[in-house]
Amino acid sequence: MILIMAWRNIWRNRRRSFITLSSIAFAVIFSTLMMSVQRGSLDQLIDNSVKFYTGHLQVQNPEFIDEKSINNSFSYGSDLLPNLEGIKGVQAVSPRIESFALASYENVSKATMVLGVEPEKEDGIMVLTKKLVKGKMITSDSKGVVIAAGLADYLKINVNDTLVLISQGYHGANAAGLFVIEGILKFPNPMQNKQMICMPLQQAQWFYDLKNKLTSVAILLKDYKDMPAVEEAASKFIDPKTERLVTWQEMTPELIQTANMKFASARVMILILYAVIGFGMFGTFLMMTAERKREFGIMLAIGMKRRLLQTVVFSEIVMLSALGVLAGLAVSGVLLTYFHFNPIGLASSQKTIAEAYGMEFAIRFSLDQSIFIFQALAVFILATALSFYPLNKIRKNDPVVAIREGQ
Amino acid sequence: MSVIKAENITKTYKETAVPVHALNGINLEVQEGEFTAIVGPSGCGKTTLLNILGGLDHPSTGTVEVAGTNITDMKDSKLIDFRLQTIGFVFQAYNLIPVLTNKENVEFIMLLQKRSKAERDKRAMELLEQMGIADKANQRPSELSGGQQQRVAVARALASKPKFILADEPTANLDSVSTANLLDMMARMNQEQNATFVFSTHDQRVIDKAKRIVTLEDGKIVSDETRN
Repeated sequence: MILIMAWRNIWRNRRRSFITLSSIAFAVIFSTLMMSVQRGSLDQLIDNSVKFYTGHLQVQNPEFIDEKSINNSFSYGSDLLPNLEGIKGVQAVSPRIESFALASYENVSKATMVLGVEPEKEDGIMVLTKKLVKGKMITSDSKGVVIAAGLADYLKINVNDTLVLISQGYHGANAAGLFVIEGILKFPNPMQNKQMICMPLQQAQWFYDLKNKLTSVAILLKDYKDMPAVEEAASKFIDPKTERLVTWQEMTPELIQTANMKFASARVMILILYAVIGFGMFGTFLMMTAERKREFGIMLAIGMKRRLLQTVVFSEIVMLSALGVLAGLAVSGVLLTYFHFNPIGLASSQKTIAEAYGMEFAIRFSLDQSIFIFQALAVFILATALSFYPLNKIRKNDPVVAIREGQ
Repeated sequence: MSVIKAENITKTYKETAVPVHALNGINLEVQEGEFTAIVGPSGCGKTTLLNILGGLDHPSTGTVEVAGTNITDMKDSKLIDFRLQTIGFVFQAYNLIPVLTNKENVEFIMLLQKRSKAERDKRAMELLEQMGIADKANQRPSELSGGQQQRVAVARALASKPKFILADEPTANLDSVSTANLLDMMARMNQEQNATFVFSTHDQRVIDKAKRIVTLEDGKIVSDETRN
């Protein structure tokens, strides 16, 4: 009967309860949408960022992250790549040599970034093939190179022209060579587009005198949340004396800062939202307490224990909040599921460009369960905190005064 | 056997600039089975006395014994339980729980006493029948007239099997027909079940039905008349 009383009490003032319910539901819908977009955009940011270049994880020489020199490369065994590819959750593995060289064509020179890759494997991360705008893509056996469109423009070089590269090889060895331009790539990242030269890994090892050596192995995961498990599995295949695993967070600290700022602003918005909703709920509880002061006094007079009366009122508040949360979760669940599978895209022209770069520019919605759980908990905690007011009023209710004032 | 014994009760309200002496040395003993009316003009202290006898308020001085238990300095939580087990209340404005049906209102007090569902059902229906409103058992109080609501309130007060019932101006909001009906019901309960009633009233119709009339003036008992 106590729960029946609590339930019926909710509907004593239907209009007020409906408004309170709606405000709670709206808060849940709005905050879950907001958090879902934030989480989705974070996932997108990470995906796009790691697909730009770094991958989620890299195997490197322990010194390489601080000093990106080919002297900080590492020797690798033939089983390293298959072992890493066999880890559950790994989508792609790409061995690399990253260094710099002075590129010259006719009377123009420019400092460039040289990336030695196995093109077929690198297509699993940077998707170089999709960036090709002219010529043909190199293969592992090619002798030529592909260069970024911006760099090609600067050097005024074209497909089938020969590029001169001069650099310093492993431990001071001379590095110089002539490379035919086989294709031109357009990178979405302006820096990459002005500097990047990609060549087959074997060519790079020859050029820099890095026989059987790499500067990194980039690993792309199917889902970045699997990183701890993949990290643990991958650590079994590397020699900690000469190699270490570096995470995308270590490689791109600015990405973490951006993500933190995005989350901080979302949290502030949600806090403001809950403050507004909290005042609305408090208004309801305040009016309910004032209206029922005499009733509370009567109940205490006829022998209802204060704790039991508090339980009834607390049950009302929990039921009302739970109804609001459930209604909100139901609506937001439908909305988020729809938008998760049908992301809000950009205009078709922008979409084409994005796809050409192997990037996703749609607004992505996350369906992470923690978003829903957090909202339910947040409203429950808010309601519990606000229930302090009516519960305290019941604790202090003097039946004589309450009955007299209600006469 | 006395169910109420009040000795030298005083009550002074000090909240105002000038202290108000609501009760000045009340001595009152009520025996089991009495049908007592406490009468007097407005402001004479009737409600204050009833509140003290019912354990809702504490006297400034003096002692109150109810059913042999001194409740003068009893703590709030114990008093609530004591009221539940010992005293039935009927209020001027009925004060039924609006979200419960009439039967549930009568049952509610027994639920607080932790009685079984079967016992609650049986007694609630018996009392509603005795009050002549069994057909309204599943309706809400708001669907009843004032007189019918007050009968539900009396049934609720009796449901807990109290030692006595305190009724503060129970007919103040009722028309003459409802008042007569309610008084007849209560008089019958008094005669048939030996239920003890203590009223505060200035309604002459209630006074006429009472077996004992205690008159208050300025917080003092000025007369105490028993009729046969």
